[in-house]
Amino acid sequence: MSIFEKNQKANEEKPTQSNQQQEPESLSDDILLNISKLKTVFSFPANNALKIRNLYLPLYEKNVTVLFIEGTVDGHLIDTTIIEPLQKKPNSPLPKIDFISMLITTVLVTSTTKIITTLDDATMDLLNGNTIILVGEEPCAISVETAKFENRSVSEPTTETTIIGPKAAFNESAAVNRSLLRKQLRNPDFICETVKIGKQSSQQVSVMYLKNIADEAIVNNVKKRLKDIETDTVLTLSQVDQYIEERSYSLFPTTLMTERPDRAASFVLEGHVILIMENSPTALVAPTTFWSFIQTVEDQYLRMPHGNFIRIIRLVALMIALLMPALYIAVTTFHSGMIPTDLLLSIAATRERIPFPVFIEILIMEVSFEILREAGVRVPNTLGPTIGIVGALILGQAAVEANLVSPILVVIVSITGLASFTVPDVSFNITVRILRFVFLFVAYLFGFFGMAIVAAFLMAYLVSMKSFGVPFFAPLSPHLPSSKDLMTRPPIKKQWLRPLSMSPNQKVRSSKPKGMQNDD
Amino acid sequence: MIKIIDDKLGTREFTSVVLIAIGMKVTDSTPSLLYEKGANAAWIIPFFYLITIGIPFLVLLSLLKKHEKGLVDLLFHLTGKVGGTLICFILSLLIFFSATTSSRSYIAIANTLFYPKTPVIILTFALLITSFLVAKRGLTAIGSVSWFIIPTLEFLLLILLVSVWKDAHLLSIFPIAGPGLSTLIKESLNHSSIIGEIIILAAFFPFVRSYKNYQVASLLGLGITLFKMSLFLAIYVMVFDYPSTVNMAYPHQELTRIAEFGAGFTHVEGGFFIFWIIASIFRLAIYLYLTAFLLGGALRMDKFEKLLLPLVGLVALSGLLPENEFIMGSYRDLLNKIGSWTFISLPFLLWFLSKLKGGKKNNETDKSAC
Repeated sequence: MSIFEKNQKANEEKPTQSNQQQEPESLSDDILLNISKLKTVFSFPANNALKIRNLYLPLYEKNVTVLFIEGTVDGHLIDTTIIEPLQKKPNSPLPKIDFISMLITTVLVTSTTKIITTLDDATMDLLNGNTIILVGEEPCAISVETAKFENRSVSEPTTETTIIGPKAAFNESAAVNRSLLRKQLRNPDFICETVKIGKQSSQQVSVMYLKNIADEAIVNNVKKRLKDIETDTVLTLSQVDQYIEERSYSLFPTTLMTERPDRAASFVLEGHVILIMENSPTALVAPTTFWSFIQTVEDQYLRMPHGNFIRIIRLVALMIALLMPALYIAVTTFHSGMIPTDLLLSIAATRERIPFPVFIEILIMEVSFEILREAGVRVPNTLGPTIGIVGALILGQAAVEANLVSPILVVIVSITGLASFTVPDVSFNITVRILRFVFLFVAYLFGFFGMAIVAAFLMAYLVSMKSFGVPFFAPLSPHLPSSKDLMTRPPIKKQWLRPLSMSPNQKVRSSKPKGMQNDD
Repeated sequence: MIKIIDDKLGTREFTSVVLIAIGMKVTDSTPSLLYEKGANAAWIIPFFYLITIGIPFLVLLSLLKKHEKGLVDLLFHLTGKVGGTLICFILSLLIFFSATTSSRSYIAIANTLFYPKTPVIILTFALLITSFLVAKRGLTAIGSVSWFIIPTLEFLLLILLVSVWKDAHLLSIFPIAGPGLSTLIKESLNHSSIIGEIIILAAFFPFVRSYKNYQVASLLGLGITLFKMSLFLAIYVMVFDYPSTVNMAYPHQELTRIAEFGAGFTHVEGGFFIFWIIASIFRLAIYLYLTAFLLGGALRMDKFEKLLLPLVGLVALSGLLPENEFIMGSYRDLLNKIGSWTFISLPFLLWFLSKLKGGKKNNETDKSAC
């Protein structure tokens, strides 16, 4: 009964709420009332963020009030483009139109100015760094773009480093990030749509794609998932990522974060959608396939044979990172006939004085390596070199001499660790590291049989997994026409076809050299 | 514009399904069946399959093209409700037995050759549960994963071939006709069910993108399978020679034991074993899905995937029954015979019914036109 009542109450309340949303409070023609309303919104004077400047303009015989939020605006810009022109006599005669339009067309010397009529708009614009000019006896206000947030300059990529290729990386300003992308793609079809997310302090996410290439279904899917986010505040793109992904519990990421504008641009050219957000030094790419996680931009920047060489090395490294400890355990425990006799004897000799079973031995080493790795990320810069010294002790001669591990295991764990550093994507890297332990465990239980079982399930899971409707291993399996830029890549001139797994509107790349650039 | 994903199988995917479902048989205990009567000429039998199964299959293809229906719908359409239910049930039973015997034989291989100390129960459940999880992801997933793995599998077989080539004696396959042509033909008829499952795979017709895809894929799959089967039946004889092949339960695994890559790696069977187990998991997944689909067809269930779990339990239990290990051996021949004649006669029966019905329908339309 009580539930029923609650529901009823909720139903009763809903219409009133939606009414409020439908009719936002408009500005009145009383300037003092408007100011006091804005003061209430920003808890003035307890909160001293709101700055109010009252002006009397003798030239026009009007009272105006200039409002802005401290820390979001460029003070100098306000002085030179708003306050100064308002008080100076214009050189040319004034046109005979209403005061607000006259101010916008003749007096204010800024590039972006608009008229707003509601209190909500005024609040939003103030928060976004605009300056609001309220004019006496007018039921509207002028909003002038004067935003200036503190921001670091464009720097080099820190996680996706390359030897050749552009060195710019995204930073925390969405405007800068968008500009970096626009610099790559000077195309009128390059769309930037804005979706608002978050109920309380709403954030804007820029959805960017090429209108003539990206599949509408994918774009709409991404936008729908963004709009479906039901929470009050989302601070960064990494959180947006977790809200819009399909499988929260899955080990495998279905979206890609990149800090390279060139990489993001190459995804856009294949019909992917890019999300950009304030405070996030990355772009989010959706949908993503397996290939984007193991490829780097350098594969395409280097000549074909060179690019393929490093790509194959990375594939081999991926396999080593995933399977090496498991293979070692399976071979030494179940299939010892497989290794050459001499090697077998030497392994047995070195293991003679180790008190643990091989599984425990390898677990000790792998866990220490993971700890070392995590410590390397968290350690303050000044203590950096310590990690190297301690690490070398744990994973090296000292451990062997203490009879904790056998020397061959040090080699195995080192090569595994080294190989895991070649996986370029951060999330996928962690996936590989977790799966390594899974393989380790089943190899200990069942040897090759167990590894085959896990591998079979993983394969079936991965080929049937979809990222925004695109199969994870497409266009390899399920097979779809593409430029075969998968495990290896053809010469750039032969990459004339976009991967059809993305259902691009234009299947064939344009003949522009820029259009040839792709990395997936 | 191609739709992103239509959840259907293309030519490559379905070819891979055929290759894994039927082409893998040459790597399990099937060859010993053929060697029993076929002796050293067992490798000729696949050529006879071209006729004994090829012709019924072509008849079935023409029916599929005409009616644009999968096998199950075709059965119900042509033989009526009772007939359709009955035949679907028989077919699902045949596939179920096939799945049971294969899973049992896979476990036996893993158990005897690699894991003598691991309990059979654990191996069986590990294998079948994985197959179930794969099958649970649907036929599209099975098709994709088959296409994903099949190039590696075929490449490994090629490597195996190359690495044992030096042990093969070409003269062992003579005399060409072995026990005589008439015996070979008789055997190929009685053991058609080995390849005849291609006819049941027509149940998957609705999952394939178009008739053209299905036609190309199944014929290609059949062709490659027959070629591979013939080649490996010949290789086994060439390497192990005739009388010993009959007593050899798992010639493929024996062959991988002989293979070596240079002096350092003399025992590489483990490497082949990994991929063989992966392939057998996918094969069992296909069989489970097929059984569930046919049974679902017989029971007129739309959500036939719910049958997978009880079926996998049944396969595991019946594979584990200690009696089955021995009794299945003797019944296997009988089952093969029943299966073979069912597969050979089914398309002709359907064709006959289709002609009969089609004639009726044409008459009716003619009458109405008048």
